Amino acid sequence: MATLAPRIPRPHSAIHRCVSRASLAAIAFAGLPAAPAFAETRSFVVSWFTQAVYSQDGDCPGGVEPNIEVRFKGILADMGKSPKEIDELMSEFDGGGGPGPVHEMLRNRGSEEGKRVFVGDNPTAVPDPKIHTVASKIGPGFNLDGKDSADSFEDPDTHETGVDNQYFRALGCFSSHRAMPPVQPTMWFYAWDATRDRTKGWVISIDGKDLSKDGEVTVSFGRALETPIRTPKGTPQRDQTFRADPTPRFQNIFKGHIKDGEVTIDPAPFHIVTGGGYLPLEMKLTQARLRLKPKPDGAIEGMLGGYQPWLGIYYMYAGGGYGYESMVGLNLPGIYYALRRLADAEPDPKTGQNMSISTAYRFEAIPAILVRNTGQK
Amino acid sequence: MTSKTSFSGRRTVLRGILGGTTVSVGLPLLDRFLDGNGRAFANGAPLPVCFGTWFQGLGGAPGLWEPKTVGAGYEMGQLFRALSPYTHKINVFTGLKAHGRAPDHTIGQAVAFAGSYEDTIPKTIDTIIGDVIGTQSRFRSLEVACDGSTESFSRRGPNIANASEPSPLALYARIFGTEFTDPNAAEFRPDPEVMVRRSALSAVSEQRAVLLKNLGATDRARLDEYFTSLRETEKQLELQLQKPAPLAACTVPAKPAEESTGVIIDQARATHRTFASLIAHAMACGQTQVFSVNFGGGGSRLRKAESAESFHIHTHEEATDPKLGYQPTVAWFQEQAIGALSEFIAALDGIREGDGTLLDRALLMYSTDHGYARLHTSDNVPMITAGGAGGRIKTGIHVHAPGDTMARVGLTVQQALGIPVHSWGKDGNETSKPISELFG
Amino acid sequence: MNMMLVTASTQGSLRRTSLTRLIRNYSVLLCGMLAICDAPALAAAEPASTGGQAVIRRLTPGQYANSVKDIFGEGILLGGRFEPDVRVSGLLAVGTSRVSVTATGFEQYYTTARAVADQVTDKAHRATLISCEPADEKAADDVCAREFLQHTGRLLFRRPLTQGELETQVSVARDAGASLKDFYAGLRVSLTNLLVSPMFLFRQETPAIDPAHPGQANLDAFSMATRLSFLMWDTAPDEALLRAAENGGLNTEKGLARQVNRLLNSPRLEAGVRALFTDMLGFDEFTTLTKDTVIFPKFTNVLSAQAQEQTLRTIIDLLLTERGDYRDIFTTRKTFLTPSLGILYAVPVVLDRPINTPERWVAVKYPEGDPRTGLLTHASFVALHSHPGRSSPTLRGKALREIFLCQKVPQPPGNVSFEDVQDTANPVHRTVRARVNAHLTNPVCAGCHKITDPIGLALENFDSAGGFRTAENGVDIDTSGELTGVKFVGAAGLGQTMHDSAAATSCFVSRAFSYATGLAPALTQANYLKFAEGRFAAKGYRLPDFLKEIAMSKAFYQADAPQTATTSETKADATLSTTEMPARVAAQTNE
Repeated sequence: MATLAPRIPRPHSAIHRCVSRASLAAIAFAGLPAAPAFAETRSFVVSWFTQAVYSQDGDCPGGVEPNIEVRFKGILADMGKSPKEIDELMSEFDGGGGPGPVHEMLRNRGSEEGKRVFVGDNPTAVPDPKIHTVASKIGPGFNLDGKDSADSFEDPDTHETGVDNQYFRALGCFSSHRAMPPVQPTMWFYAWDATRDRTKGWVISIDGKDLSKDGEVTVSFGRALETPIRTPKGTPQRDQTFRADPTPRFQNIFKGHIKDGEVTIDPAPFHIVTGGGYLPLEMKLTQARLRLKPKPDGAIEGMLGGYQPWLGIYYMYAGGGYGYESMVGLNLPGIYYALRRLADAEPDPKTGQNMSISTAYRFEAIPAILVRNTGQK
Repeated sequence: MTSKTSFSGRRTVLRGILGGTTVSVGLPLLDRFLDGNGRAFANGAPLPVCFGTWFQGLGGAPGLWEPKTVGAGYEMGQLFRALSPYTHKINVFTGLKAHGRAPDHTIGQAVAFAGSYEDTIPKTIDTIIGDVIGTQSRFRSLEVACDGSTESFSRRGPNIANASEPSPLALYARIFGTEFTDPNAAEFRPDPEVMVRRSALSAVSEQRAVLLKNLGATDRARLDEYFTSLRETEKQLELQLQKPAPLAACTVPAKPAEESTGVIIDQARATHRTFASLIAHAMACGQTQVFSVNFGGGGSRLRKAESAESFHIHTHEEATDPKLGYQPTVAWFQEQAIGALSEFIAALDGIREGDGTLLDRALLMYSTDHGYARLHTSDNVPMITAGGAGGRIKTGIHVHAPGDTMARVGLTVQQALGIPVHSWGKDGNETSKPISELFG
Repeated sequence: MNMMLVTASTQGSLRRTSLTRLIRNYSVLLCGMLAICDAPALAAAEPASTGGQAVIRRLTPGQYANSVKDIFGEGILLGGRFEPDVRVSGLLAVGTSRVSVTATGFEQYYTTARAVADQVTDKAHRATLISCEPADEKAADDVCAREFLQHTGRLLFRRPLTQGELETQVSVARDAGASLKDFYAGLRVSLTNLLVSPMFLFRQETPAIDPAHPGQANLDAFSMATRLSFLMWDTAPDEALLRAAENGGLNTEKGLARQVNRLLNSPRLEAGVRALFTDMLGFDEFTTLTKDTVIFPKFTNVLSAQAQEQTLRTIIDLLLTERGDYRDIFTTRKTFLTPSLGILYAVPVVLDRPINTPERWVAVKYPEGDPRTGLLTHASFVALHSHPGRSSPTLRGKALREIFLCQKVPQPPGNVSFEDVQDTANPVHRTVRARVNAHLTNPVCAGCHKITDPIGLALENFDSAGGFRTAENGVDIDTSGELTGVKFVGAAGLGQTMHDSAAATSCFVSRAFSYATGLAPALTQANYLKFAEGRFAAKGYRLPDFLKEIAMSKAFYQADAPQTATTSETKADATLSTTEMPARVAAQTNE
């Protein structure tokens, strides 16, 4: 089994120390790095990040959500269109996002105060379409509340029971959200990659006395000032130098532990900024958990979980607009109602409606060089 | 005017011809090119080169199309099997990318065909090449789209699109309608510019004897080779002053049947087949030397007959098959596009001209916009050239150039066709490195 | 002494001459190259030497581009591509005196010439690039054509046009301009002629016989200016240098010194030094360099361009900016990196501002004791001289001997099995050293490998792409090495050994002089080379001083006297011949 023991050859470490000491102008750059706080450090940059799902045949009792054509025909029928009208309308459907009469009709199918409105911005302007949700017992993530209840999963890798991952349950019956690890669900795979050139590196470092042994460590997970450079295949490069963003709110520092070669953290809030676009601009988790497991090739595979405000998740989808319905096959009001229904934490004191939902994300991080900058020139 | 130097002879000839009068006899230079009536001899200048672009949107499934070995003797990858009969006439390029912000539905074809993406597509390679090779033919270029639209990636300049012809019947009428005349009956008029250039160059070659006279053996041999090489270029210019060989392979194709164009893949492939035949016959009959084919557009609207879900929807929605490891429907669409491409190549290769085929004197450049359809990436975007451009480019080679700009193929193609360009592309896609292994 | 080691210059004749005789006759050369003698004593004055033949050299692509850019400005774009140069006696510069122009090559020159002439005469450029205007744009105009062609022709031919040359082109412009009813079209055609003329494409050197010393000659002033300008700036002589050549300014020591100092003190010297090292280090081989992208996903064409640039920046900084000691190229801890190169080497590269510009350069100094010292550890050396998927101590050792010690390592015989060396998955021989040792049990191979591998094995910390490693297949890498009896450990030890090697500096002196003259080291120049070595040492191995030494020497401008064609034809051996005919082309066209 691979361990977190230093893999970096000695001369390299010498450079690291030199950088850290900021003496002798070992590296001629403007920002001088801070003094080292730890005996041993391993640094990584996140190379991919995706919603944690585990899709098996039969895990959606109502079936996988129907494809766009079937759903749109159903919606038109619900709107009172005759089969002939539906056929005529759908013959205009070109697989794009409009414009055109059929697109207008489907996009603005919500009704509010007598006006047709876009259902993405106004999901409650249509009744709950009751999308299919996952009913399996196997699901990846963490037991966040310490309870093993009817709506909990068992993690397929750690076999931890009581796993809370209602986000998977809510969206896991859309084709674009279905995958069996190591494959990533198409929608998230695309969303992460599509924002790659504007997302600053997400850097992780593990600091401790001796990373080859069980013991206490400090784990930092935050944003860098640099964007990952890509290989010709589009994957991030190993061994790139990153400076940690000195702004404190862009860094998460966790108390962590190594046990049997795996790193976990004590629950704590987590916050990170993305490049926007297909991802929410920021991700905030409460009671966040992290699991880091070394791979033989020097990378780490990770799982991040916690409670996340579900409205933020919904607006990530609504932000994709009608195209997410007509081109990705999602059902925006359906997602809204499912997230609201399955939210499992942080009830609104007035209404009692849970405002956060349990989530889990899988990721991989590859070796990187992290320079902690004092922020001074 | 004196006749003391050889230059006076050159001048006399030029004035005679360009003044529009019949050339008098006995002049030293151009009489070699002309018959007794001042017309060019029709004695076998090679048939002209043809060039065209062929575009398919969305790319496909990486790992399934790339050849396993590099260099000559490669075998087509799984999704490119339809091209296998023509492997020896095809170059496949892997690892190339469009530098710039991904994902974007335009940047891939912009870099492939125009070398850069500047919020819009600048002048494209078919137009650049057409402005050099296509000026003498009836149609400077022919653009077609196979999905019933007029969408085109051919640009005369930024925002100046050469709209595509969506209808095979209309294209037939344009080429082979009432205005069509037998190309072999047409009168040939030598290009005055070429005459001037040919004549002027002799001022360099006439120095040969003087320059070689007093050199040592080694240097004399070297300069002698220089002058021999110069002579080759002179001969090429002389050939341009001669009437081309008759277009023996020119036949008028049958008028296409009533058509049904549209986005269903079977419609698009049928439309494309007709276009392929019409364009091939048009080139065989000297009506055009340049074409641009758009098979299905950027965010491709093509779909199966039984489903309203387009190729594009499938790229975003379809789950990766856990057993296969890729999106099977997406891969199917890529295979369909390559199947159509193979039919276009077959149409060119099916026209025999002497010892070779129309394909042998043509150069087709295929590109798509994305490497990985599921991600819409601009990395490892498949590119192909087919045809040897009359011996100007080697074929049957798989070139692997990871991380290099797609514009390298465009630069290589232009240089092979004699376009005066040293570097091509802009920003991250600028390159002055042609793929030199494709040159003889 | 190992029989496998022969100097590049004598390789051709070794087959026919005994080694003893060679050593007796040419001991100076061999001393320098094999470091078996004492360092040459410093002579007081330049010794007599007979120079070499005047040569005809084809412009390199860089020289062509620089010339066009200097004459017509940055805005003129080249069209087409160039034929590749060939390497002779370790240098493309020497190869340029052997190559001609093929049919394809001429076609490309013609394409480019037309593209340049089109631009120079187009509406956007004619006002600035053509000093006169025709009386009527729609007709020929001899006066204006003559003015332009005389001025431009002199810059392109690097000497004034002869009357015959000028009038020929004026007549071409006249004919074409009248025929096409366009003055500028006529000018375009005659400018195209100048650009494809052998007078432009080839640097032709003209010796003038010295009546006092029959059999020996100096180059004429224009040939001097050309040699000087291409050596210092890698481009054609500028107006000031041509004027000096015309008014006798290069014929006095004071006048020559004025021009030499002007060239040396210009920022354009960098272009000349870059060209020298690009040639000497064999960077043209990068055009065909590939790496197995499965094993080395970091290595791309972009990176290989950056690897060359890293080395050139390091050299320019050390030798020009810092005016440092040439020998320190083997030991310097300072270099320049981009974030992408930092990724390749797995070292921190921090830019002073947030990037999306991965190609920005920063100066980096490795800490004391770091193994990445000197340019032998750059990817431009260790990656260039490796196989696509594995490192090669043999290729690296061979390259070091050929590039930096001017020695020739023979090719392996054709019937050798390399199975042992190639099997990187061999469960027994897990490191390169173990595999090479296994290969060496074959005595046929051992002879040659002994002179390459002990050098290359010291660089085994660097994988085929230039990445750093301390173990291979789980086994620690042993980097002990040896070069001509000196034992050392690792790249730093090898760098120090090269730094201290008299053979290495001697080789550089010889290569630089060959580069300057376009000639393989000639026996007739041996005295001068020995002398120059002493001067190089005395000046602290400073490159600018050494370039000045060459530029002010007699040897640099000496040429064999012109002889008749019949005489030269009897000399078959091109490499060693000192009697090959000089080119008198320019003089002879003066009809």
